[in-house]
Amino acid sequence: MNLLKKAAFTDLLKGMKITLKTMFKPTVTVHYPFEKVPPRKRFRGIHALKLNPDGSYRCEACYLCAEMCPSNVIDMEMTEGENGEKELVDFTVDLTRCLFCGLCVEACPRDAIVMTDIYEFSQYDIKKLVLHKEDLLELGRYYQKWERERER
Amino acid sequence: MEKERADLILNMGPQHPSTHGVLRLVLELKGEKIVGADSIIGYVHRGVEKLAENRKYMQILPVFDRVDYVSANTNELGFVLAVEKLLGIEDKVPRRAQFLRVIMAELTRISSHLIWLGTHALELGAMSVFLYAFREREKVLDLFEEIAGGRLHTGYMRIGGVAADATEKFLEELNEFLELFPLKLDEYEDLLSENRIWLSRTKGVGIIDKETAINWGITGPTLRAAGCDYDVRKYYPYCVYGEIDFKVPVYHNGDVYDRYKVRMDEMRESVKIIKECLSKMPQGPVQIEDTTVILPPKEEVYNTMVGLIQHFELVIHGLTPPKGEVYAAVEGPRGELGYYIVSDGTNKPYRLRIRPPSLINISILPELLKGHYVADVISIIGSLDPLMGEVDR
Amino acid sequence: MESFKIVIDGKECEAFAGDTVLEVAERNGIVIPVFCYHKELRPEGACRVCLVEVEGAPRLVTACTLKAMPDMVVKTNTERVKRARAGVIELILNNHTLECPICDKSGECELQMTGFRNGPKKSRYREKRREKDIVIKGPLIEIDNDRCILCRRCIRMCGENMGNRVLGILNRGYKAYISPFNGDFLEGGCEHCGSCVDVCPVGSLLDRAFKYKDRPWRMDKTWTTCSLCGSGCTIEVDSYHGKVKRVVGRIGVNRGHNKGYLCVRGKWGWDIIYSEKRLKEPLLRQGDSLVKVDFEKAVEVLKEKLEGREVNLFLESSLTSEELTKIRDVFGGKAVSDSYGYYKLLRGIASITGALNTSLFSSIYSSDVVFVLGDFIEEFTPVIATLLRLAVIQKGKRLIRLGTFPSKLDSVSFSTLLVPQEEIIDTLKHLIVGTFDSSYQSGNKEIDSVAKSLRGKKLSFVVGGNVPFSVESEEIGKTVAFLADRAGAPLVAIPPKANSLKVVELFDLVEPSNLKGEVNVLINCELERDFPGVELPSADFTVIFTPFYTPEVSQADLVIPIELGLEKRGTFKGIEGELSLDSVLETPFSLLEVLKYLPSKGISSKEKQVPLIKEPGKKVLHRKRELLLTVLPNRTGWNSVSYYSENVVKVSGKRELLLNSQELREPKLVSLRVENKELQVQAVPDASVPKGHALLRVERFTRDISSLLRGNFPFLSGIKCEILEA
Repeated sequence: MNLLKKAAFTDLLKGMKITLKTMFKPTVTVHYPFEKVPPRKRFRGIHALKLNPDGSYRCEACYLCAEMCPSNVIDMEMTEGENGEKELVDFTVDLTRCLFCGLCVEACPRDAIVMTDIYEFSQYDIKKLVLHKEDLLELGRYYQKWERERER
Repeated sequence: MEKERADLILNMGPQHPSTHGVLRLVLELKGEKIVGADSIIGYVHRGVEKLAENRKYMQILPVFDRVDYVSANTNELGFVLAVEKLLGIEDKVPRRAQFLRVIMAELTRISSHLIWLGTHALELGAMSVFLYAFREREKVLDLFEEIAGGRLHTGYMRIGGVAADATEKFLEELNEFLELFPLKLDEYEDLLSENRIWLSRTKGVGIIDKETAINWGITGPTLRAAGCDYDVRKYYPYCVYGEIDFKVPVYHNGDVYDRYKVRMDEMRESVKIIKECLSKMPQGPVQIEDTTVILPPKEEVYNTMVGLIQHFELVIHGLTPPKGEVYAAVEGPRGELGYYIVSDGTNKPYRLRIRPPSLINISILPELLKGHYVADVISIIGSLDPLMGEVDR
Repeated sequence: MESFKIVIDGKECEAFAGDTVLEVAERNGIVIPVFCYHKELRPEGACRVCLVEVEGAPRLVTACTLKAMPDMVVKTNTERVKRARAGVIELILNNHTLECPICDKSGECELQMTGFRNGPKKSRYREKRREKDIVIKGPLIEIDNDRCILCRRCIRMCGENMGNRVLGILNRGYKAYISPFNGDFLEGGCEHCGSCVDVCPVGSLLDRAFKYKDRPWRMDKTWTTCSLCGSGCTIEVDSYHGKVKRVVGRIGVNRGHNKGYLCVRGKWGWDIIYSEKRLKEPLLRQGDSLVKVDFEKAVEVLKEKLEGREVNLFLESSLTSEELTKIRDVFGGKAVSDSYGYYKLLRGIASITGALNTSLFSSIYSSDVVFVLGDFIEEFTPVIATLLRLAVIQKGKRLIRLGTFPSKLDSVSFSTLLVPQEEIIDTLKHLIVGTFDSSYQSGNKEIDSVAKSLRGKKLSFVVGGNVPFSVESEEIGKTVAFLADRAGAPLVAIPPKANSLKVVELFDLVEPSNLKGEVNVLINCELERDFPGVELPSADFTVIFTPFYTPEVSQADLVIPIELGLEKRGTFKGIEGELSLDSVLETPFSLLEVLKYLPSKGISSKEKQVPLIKEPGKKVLHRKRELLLTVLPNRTGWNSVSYYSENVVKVSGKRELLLNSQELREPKLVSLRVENKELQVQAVPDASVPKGHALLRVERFTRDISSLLRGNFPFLSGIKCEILEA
């Protein structure tokens, strides 16, 4: 029996059948740079700083995100503003070290730092991977637009 | 017995496509036959245990995602269980979180075994299995992305619960996947189980008998293929495994083929476990109520002082378990993954030791390879399924 | 003392009469949460967080005010106690603003820590918060009343421990808030010691220099010794990545003899490190101008110029002992130093005791009566004045002070003898006899009563303030040492500068007129500030080692930058023995580094011998109609802080001449005449200045003050002067 099976190549034919069947099914892959799969709602892409409705930034430089970060990605500078309020001078996110774990977002007590759905951020220059306050606020505008669309 | 003299010393790896990472083997050959072998590891050593000593308990999680980088959830789960044991809050973690943890752990097992299946088959010449296995694995990663936000490094577990509740979409997609996946498993088995090439490359190759396996401390599918039914989930049940009815597949030949069969059966069992979890999972919170352990909900932080100071204290100083030592293990896709934590009462572990199943499993490699042909090396390494990130840590 | 047992949480603890339950618990490692209680302050029982259950008592009691009694059974961890605590904390938290992200205290905030450990798990309060919105901004301290939990620690600290009574509570009940008198720190008489900021459990009282500069938890903390006066305070320097962010005393935690108390110089004077006038490179004279040179060149020139020549060494006394030893090795043992006056005082003391040394400051704690001699201790060494005050308040010592001008210490002293400056030695001599002879009558009732209270007690003597700068310093030293010697009591001579004792030990201090060298070497000093009344001797070559662009830089031939006290590692010889300095800061230049390249003169150290006389001093101050002038730099004006610190300059006073209100009716511009030199200055009548004396308060020493005092170095007090109409 076994010999017969062996002589008839049933084992191989069984496999061939599956291959053949699959050939006529629609493809499951996408042509990446031309087609993209939209990331899910909870996806953790690069960081952004959210803004208040009046255009001011929400971050109050409490350093909790920097403290929570396991790989010292975040650093910031602050100073006393003219009216005695706290002023954020610079906020840097060093993407070269980031693990994208999302702990900074969890640590934020003001809902200021968030993670966008952007996952393509390759650069030719390593310095461009260090995001500064302006970049992050720009990303924040993008994020808030995306967030509104997502909610809809 | 006098050692046979080698004719040729062959260096295999560390950049070899079928050594599952950067494992380097120095093979002493006599003709095609291996008379001696030496494995050299350490190429991806990142000092994870030392890193953990310098981080607060909450910060360690993302680092452990990267130890065994194809099964992040079980890594996290083991660590989280160890810390919870240290804090003495194992019983207080909500049940829904426990079920979600089991679901994630079993999905991780499936995805990890699928990677193993795909690459192992590819190495042994079956190209299409690789494509099919990765097709299904992609579905699992999509599920991870939906529930946790990360595909590989999910970061889903938390000390005292899980990061977030499952979404509707996740449950929907999970059910779909569970319906579909057993059929796909049948397909893989059709492709391989009776395939004569597969059989001749795997049957009777790399036999580890029961006694040797136990003596070498081997765990996981490799041990179960040798006829021992040790499984942490059965012997020392954690989370809700004690309430779930599942079988531990055991085979007795201990060769490459049996390891393949064990893993295929395990995937089927995983599907059953997840199905049972979904039917039993209660509604409710997914994080422990104790705000000295887990960050309070954002609603509290934004609006109340109590929540805000809890949040600040936890982020700045972290949670501080009492002095003590603790060992907690989970059944990872590769075997018993254990965490041994020594706490000195501060917010960082004094010492943290991981019991990496991959390292212990491949330590038998030099002995096992003796007497085999060079072509079998690939088959044997593949069947042990080492992950070099975990071996070197 | 007799002890008895009380039981806390089932643990038998030893207690002494007068101990509170909280103190006993603390000693035995049982933690009871507190807000208003502070180790250094009188217990108040305002916050009700330290509630404990006492067997037999119907209600919960506050542990901080409850005195321990024999056989008391206390429980600190029952459900009832926990619920009460959580309730109290919840009520405190309800009206606290949600400002942790911007508050500079978060991370070391006691409200956060205690609230986290003992507070409620969830807040039930959803109503609107009270917003007082009262922010009081002083020059260095800011009060944000929204964050205040009204524990009154700052008020007790300011009023009782520091004796200033600047802070108080305004309004009542729900609207109560903390404010300085009239809402203005300077007008309220704040000394800016920073103690209120230190004890504030929340972020209500803030250090403005640190406001929004960094976060407390991520800074490197270094314990070092302040080099800005002779108190030798232990301070904690907080820095991040090699940049100092603030200095804190940590009252109650600090293990130094200052117990964490600081003054305005120590607390806020750290910013001299970042002064714009900081010297960054060596300068060498080429023609008429100074040009920047590199380090090697500077050392080369220095070596060449010093070879085989005698130097005129000018030393400032806040260098470390290691540096001083090396300086003596390189430049020789003859020097002019700002510790010259102190040297005279010590020489006077040594003629009785035989050693150029002083007792440890802590020796006053083992005596019953502390006899203090000197005026303006709170200006020269502010922390020593605080410690003397605390010795009275906390340890129950009797303080007796002899001086000329009234002082803040008088409010706690048992008795105060105020006599004209020329009569101090006579008064001391009366005391020498009166203390040991009960039948002696001096003719002055006050002196007799002081002599009576000294009689038969365990005594200790403290000499400080302006005494080292007094014309009579050596004679006063002899007299007071004679008295101390007869009483067998320790005598503490408080050094005016951080390392004065080591300078006196190592160097032969001489009058500036005795310097006959060819090369002037000035180390860490400024002529006008450290040597008022001294002119630089003419020499071929002048080398200045200085951290700043001082006025003398323009006259120098070679200027070499050195580091400041906070940047040094080493030791001081202070009033508490060896005090160590530590630092994590890095400087490009170091004095020791330069001296390493210079050849050693190989001077062997020898013990200084002072002839033993064992006789009280003689009065040297006689006057007819002249006034006795005391020049007093403001608290801030004694060190480089007043010249280069932006923080401290904000609170430095102004220059004025204070005269007795009987001698001067109304403020006017007058001309102050010392010998043949004159200075125009605004004179103000002041009741506290005794008749026949004039007090010239200056914010810092400047050229005109220096020229007024020409020839009087090292004296600043007891100088004869006249007041002329301007």
